[in-house]
Amino acid sequence: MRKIKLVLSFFCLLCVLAGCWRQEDTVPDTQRGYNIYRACQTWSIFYITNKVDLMMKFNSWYVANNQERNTIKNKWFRQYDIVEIEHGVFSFYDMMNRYEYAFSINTQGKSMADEDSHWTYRWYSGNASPKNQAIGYWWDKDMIICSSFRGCGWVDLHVDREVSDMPLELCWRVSMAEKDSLHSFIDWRLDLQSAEMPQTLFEGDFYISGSGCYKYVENYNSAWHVDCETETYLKYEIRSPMCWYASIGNVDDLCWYGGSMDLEAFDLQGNALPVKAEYVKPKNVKITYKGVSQVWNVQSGRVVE
Amino acid sequence: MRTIGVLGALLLFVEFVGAQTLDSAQVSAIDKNFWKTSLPRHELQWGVGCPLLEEFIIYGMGSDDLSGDFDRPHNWFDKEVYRGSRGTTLFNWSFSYLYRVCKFLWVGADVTYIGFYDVYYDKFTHQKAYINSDQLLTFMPKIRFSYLNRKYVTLYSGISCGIGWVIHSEKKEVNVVTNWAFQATAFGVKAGTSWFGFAEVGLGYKGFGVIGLGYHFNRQNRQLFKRNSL
Repeated sequence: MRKIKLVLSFFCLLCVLAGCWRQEDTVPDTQRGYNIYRACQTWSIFYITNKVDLMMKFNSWYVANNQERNTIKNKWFRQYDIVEIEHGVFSFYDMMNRYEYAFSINTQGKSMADEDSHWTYRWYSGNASPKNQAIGYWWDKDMIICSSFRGCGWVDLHVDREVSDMPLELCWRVSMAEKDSLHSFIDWRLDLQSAEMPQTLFEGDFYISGSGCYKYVENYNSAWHVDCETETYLKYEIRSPMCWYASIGNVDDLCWYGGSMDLEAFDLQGNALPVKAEYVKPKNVKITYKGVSQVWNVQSGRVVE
Repeated sequence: MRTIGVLGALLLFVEFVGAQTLDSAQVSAIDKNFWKTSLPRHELQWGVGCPLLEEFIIYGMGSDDLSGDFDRPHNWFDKEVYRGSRGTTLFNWSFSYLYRVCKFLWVGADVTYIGFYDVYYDKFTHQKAYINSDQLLTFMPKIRFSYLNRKYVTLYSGISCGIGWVIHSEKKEVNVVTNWAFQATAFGVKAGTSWFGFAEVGLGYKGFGVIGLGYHFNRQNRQLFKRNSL
């Protein structure tokens, strides 16, 4: 009888423990603020690596002689066939993808290093392109995130040389603007600590200042038909220049190690989420969100302080 | 996990062989068909089980996670919540019916149910935001081997295998996931006459341990008793 009582007590204890057992709520207070910051960084890095750096690499091809061009093409543009469609305008055709048009670069016949250069990177954003271009879109189940500013259409990223106040610096204005919406734009100033034009952006440190706004379009319908139901915007202003560094040859390791920025996520229903991000130490960023400040390690994605 | 499965199967096999040995020893002494009139044929059981496994199946080792929504901007304006108290049905409730095919073999089915109810609160205002629930309903055909069959006491082992539905309700949106369900009863004991109590130890969707009440429908016995009394 005693044993039965003991077994029954143990059984009931197990049941009660199972009923009460739960995971602790481990989500940090600034998690959403950090997510917003990460979204901004993800898209900023996308434009830096996929557009601006590519233009810089193309510049090294553009100014090189024929022999050097082959070497540079094999190094960075192996998958593209580069065709000069008119003077100073080059179209890139993707040989790995049915020779489809990928993008164009308009040099206006000048090197990017020239003081009055105005380069334009043009691509078609959206799957409705006659060439069925997927560039510019990330498909995520039923949601579309537009990397461009419009649902579908030609997008131009301008990189215009500017004169720097500093003697050993190269400087460009990087801009992109959607004609249809006042919300979406990029307006950066890119400073490179180098007296000579580098072959790639990642040869040294570079600084980005300015502001921008990314638009996210959520599509509830089929993946092949863009029907924007909701729009979310991520506006940011860089308060002090963001210093970037990348291990050479490893753009995945691109990290921000200076500056601060104000971000604001908002939708067209009047909801807004302000976030403040400040550099603390390498790979550590202080996020302030809804009155709470926490330091995050961007590599581990965890709160460290 | 594989080791537990192998051990469980081995135990069942040993128990089954033991049951056969006992039967053959008894056969010589009593009428082979005596069990049909002396032992119950139909049985209903109501039991409560320990829900640890179900909770693990439903929730796993994960926790509420907002970390993945950085690339889901449509989630940014959702309420930020934390989970408060978890309500449960406390036990895993089971209902079984079994029919004795021969002296040592029963067939039937288990139906089990358990529910977990989580209250979520706004992270900043601490007001109740919504309640999410997870409910697990299973239907499992069952085989039972009874290796000791006495008037008041029966020892048995068994196995059930069937289908389970996890009904997940989140912010009033209901999602049903269908999966396999099982229960291996390593050891079970029941004691009583028409009404009886039982206890089982095993692994599966009924729980690690199950206790409860049951009822025998001895129709043939009753008719026999009635005839004898007349």
